[in-house]
Amino acid sequence: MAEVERRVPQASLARSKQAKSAREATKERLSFREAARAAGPGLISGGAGDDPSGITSYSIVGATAGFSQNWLLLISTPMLIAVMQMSAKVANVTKSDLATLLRTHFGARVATPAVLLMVIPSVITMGADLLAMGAAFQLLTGVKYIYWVVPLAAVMAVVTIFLDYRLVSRYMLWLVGFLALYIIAAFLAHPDWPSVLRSTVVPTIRLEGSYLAAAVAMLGTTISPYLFFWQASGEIEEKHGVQHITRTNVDIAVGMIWSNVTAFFIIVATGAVLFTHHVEIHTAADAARALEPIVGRYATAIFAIGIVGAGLLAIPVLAASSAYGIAGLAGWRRGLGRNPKNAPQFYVVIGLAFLVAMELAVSAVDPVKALFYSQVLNGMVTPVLIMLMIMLTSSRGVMGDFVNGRLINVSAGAAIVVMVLADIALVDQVATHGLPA
Amino acid sequence: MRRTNPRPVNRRGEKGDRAARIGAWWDDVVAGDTDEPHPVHGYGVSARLTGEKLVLAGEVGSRRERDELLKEARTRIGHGFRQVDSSRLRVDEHPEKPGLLDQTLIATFPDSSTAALASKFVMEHSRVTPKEMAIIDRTNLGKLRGILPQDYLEDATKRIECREAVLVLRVDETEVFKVRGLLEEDTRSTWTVTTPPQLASGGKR
Repeated sequence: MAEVERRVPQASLARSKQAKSAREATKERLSFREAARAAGPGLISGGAGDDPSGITSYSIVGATAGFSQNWLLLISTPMLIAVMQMSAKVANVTKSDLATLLRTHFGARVATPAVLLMVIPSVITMGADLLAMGAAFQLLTGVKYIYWVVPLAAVMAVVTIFLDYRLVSRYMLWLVGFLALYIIAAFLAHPDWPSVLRSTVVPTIRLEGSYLAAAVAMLGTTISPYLFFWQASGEIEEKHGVQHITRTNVDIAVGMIWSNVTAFFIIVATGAVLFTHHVEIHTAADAARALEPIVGRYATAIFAIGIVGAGLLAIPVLAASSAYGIAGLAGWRRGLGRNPKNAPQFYVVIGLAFLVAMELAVSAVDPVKALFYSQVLNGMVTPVLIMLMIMLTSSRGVMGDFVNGRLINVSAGAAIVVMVLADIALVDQVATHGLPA
Repeated sequence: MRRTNPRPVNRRGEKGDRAARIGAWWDDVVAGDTDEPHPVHGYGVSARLTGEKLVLAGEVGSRRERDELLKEARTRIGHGFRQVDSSRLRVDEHPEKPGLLDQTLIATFPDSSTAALASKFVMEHSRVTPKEMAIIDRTNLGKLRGILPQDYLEDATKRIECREAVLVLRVDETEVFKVRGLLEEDTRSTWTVTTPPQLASGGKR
C-alpha cells in the first residue's frame, strides 16, 4: 500500500476525492496533440473495415447504384461509432475481450455460435481478400493473380505470428493512410460534385432487388462483427483502462469517420465512371481495370495499390480477430503481444485461418459467391451481437458508472433495426429473384 | 473471514525460494538454454547469449523491474558473457494514474488450497499488492456479503455451495490487466470476473 501511495500523484488523489463517481474521476479534456496521439486500435479497425472485399462491395455499389446510396454511409457512421465504442468500453471497464465476456455472462451456448458466426465469415473474407490482392498485383505487374496468393498469405502470416505486436500495429497505422489513394482516384474521376452532395444528404430509397442487395452489401461491410472482437481485444493489448475511455472514443470516432470517408470516395470514383458508362463489374480489380480507358492509367494503379494496402492491413486483423474469438471462448492464453511459445493455441488458430483462407483463394470456390454468403452470415450475426453488447454495456453490474448513455443505446439500436431491415430485404430478394448478380 | 497475508513474497522463505528459482533460470541462460520463461516476468522477457554479449529483450511493467532485471544480469558478467545489451528491453509505460479507482476481481477454484496457491502465484508474477484479499469457502461463506457487490453475490454463493472456493482481490484499476490475465489464463480458475471500477478507498474496507 505504501508503494502505491508513493506512486500516486497528489493531484490525482485530490481529483479522486472530489469526484462523485468513477466516471467523473476519469473524464478528461484532450488537447489536439493528445487527441492525435490517441490513434490506435480504433483507427486500425476503421482501416480494416475497408478491406479488399469492402472495396469490392463499395465499387459494386458505385457501379450499380451510382451515388444514390451515399446517404447510407452518412447515417451508418454514428451507428458504427456507437457500436465500436461499446466494444471498446466494455473491454476498458472489464479488462476482458468480447469472447470471454460472452462466455462469462451469457454462457457457452450463446458465446460459441456467436464466435463461430464471426470466425467463418472472417476466414471466407480473408480468402476473398487474398484473391483481390492477387488480382491487384496482376493488374500492376501482369503476373497471373494465382501466383501471388501463396506468397502474400505466407508473408502476412509470418508478420502476424512472429513480429512484435507494437511493430505490427505501427505498420498497420501507416497502412491506414493507403486508403487516402481513393480520395485521389475520386478526384481523377471528375464526378458531378453537386449531384454527389445531393445524394449524400437527401436519402433515396428504391424498392428494387439490385438496389436493396447493394445496400445490404454496404451495411454488411461497414458494420462487421470481427471489428467488434478486434476493437475489444486491441484495448486489452494496449492495456487501456477506464482512464483511457475519452482517448479511445476519439480514436474510434476518427477511425470510423475515416473508414466511411474512404468508402464514400470509392463509391464516388466508381459511380462517376462505371455507373455513368454502364460498366458491369464483379470485383474491385474489375473496377480498377474498367477505370483505365475512361480515367487513365494512374487511376487504375492508384485503385490497385489501394487494394494491396487495404489487404495488408485487413487480413492480419481478420486472422487475429478469429484467434481472439476462439482463444477467448476456450480460455487459452492469447494476444499478439505474446510470443508464439507463450500462446501456442492462439497462434495456431491464426496459422489455420491463413491456411484455410489460402485454400479458399486457390480452390475452385467462387470468391464472389463465398463473399456473398459470408456477408449474409455477417448480416445475421451482427444484430444479435450488437444486442448482446447493448445488454452488457447497459448493465450496472458489469459497467458500474460506465453504463451506456441514451445516445449510444439509440444509435446502436438503430444499427440493429437497419441491419434487420436490410436482412429481410435481402431474403426477399433471394426468395423472389435468386442470388443478385 | 480468512484473510491471507497480502504480501506473501515478503516472507523470508518464499523470497528465498524465488531468488533460488531466478538464480536457476540465469544458470540455464548462461548454459545456453534460453527457452524457459523467467520465474517472475514469464515469457514477457527473454535473454539470449550472442557471442560475448547477453541480449535482454521484451517488456516489463516498470522501471524498477527493468533495473532489477538488469542488476540480475550484470551480477553474472564474467560467467559466459562480458556485456549486457538492454536496448530491446522496454518498460510498458501508460499515462493512466494509479490511486484513482479500485476494482475487485473474483475467481473461483476447486478448493481453498488451490485458491491460496493461485493467489500466491498471481502476486508473485504480477508484483501487485492487493488492497484487500480473501479466500472464501463453505466455512466462511457468511463473510462474502461484506466484500462483494450485490450483483455478483448470487453467482459466487452458488459456486461456493458447489464446494468451490472464491478468491477475491481488490487492486488498483491500473493493475487489473496483469492480475486478471494471470488469473484467467495461467491459474485456470473456473470462473473469473471483474467488478466495475469504483472510486479508490485507500486501504482495507
